[in-house]
Amino acid sequence: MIRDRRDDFDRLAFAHFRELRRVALRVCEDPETADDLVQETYLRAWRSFDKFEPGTNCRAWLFRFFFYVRSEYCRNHARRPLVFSLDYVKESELSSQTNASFDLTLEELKQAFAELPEAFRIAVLLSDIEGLKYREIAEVLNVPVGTVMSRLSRGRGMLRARLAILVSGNDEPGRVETNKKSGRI
Amino acid sequence: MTNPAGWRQTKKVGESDCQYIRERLDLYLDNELLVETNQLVLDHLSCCRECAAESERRIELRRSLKEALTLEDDDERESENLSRRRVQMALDRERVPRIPAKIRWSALAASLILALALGLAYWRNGNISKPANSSAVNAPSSEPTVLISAVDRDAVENHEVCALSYPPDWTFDQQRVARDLTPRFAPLIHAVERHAASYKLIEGHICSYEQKKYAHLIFRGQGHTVSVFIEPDDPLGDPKSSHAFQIAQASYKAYQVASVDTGIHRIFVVSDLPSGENLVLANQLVPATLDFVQKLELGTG
Repeated sequence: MIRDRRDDFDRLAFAHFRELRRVALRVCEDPETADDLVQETYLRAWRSFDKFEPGTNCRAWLFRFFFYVRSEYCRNHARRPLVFSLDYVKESELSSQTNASFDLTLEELKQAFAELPEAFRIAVLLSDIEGLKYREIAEVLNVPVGTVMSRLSRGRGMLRARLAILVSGNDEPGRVETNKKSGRI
Repeated sequence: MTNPAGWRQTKKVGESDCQYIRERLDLYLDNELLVETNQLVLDHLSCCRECAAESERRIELRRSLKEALTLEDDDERESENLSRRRVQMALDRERVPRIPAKIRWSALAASLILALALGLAYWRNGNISKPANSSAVNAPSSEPTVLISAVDRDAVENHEVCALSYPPDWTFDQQRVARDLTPRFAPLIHAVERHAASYKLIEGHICSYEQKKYAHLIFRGQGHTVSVFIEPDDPLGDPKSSHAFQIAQASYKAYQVASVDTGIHRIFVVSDLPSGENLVLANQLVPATLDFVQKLELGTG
């Protein structure tokens, strides 16, 4: 019985280890902290595995633990509160900038993403990279769905705006397309 | 999720229509729109090349972003494997079967009861534990106790009123002392005197204090007066095992009193020496005294 429970947990939870660690690495300040939080996430998830409903989204369930553990970590380390303005960029102001074509390396894209305010970065990460639905993101982050939509909209808009600025700096107009050999998009 | 009211009626594709669509384009790409709004966006994209191109750019941007953030090299794969092993080990530790709380508490209660029983047994044995032979006596392992028992106090007070009453020039008279000690305790002189080191025996007798009789030897040396008392404790008492004697020391007034209880006799060494020195002296005098007393108790003395 116990053995079965272990096997079930290992099979379900470790199937998402890579995704969880990837998210951890993107939202934590350093890899060590990310690994600590991932470990704590798995321990908490194991302790609460009885409450997991088979057939539901195990990945979202793990992410929820992770962001809870992370918020505890931030509180305990008296981290500076996240400060950003939700009016930072209006969608209407961004829409015209998205028409610009990009010619950037993957590294530049990564950098532009990393410069996003944390709340926006996390929302974009969970949606565009991990493929979570808005409702799942809302549950993971413990915020209303409307907040998720708002953060996504602004996060993506800011990312496009930053990329447009980078492109203008590179002064190399071109289409958004990936050249796998050069790593440019 | 959005209300298309007012737009559906406008069939002409204008700038405001594009603005409306682009504000919903990400929702459309995320497949989060209501069916009818989704259809409106689809209709618009099919007839607006600019918005369709914008949609393609956003799709491409997402794909590129995902590629950028999920790209892994060998180092990252290795560090992921390490992290995975670390988590697995932490889980293994977590999964080690634990003793249920009920059993843990029961074990704790049993331990406490056992400790209490052992403590009680120890106390009943007179706080004494073993030397290697009948003459050897253990010194207390801890600091001298502050509290003093009535018998210790009597010994100190007897020392004050008796031993300290002898003048400084008092000379030792062996014959008289042997007589005063009675034949029963007279051999004590020879048994103990040679262990007194730098202290000199000046007096010996049987004296009474608080209705108790003591065989009393008085030593002097280095400006201090030392008493060795043997008090018949309980003639009906059981002699304790010779392996269970330990010197206990207490402090009363300005004096230190070291004592040993055989069950039938008590032996005291009282002085105004510092605690450690009195204990050292007691360790010199008590074994010989104890030997003598045990012989008395066995009737072989």
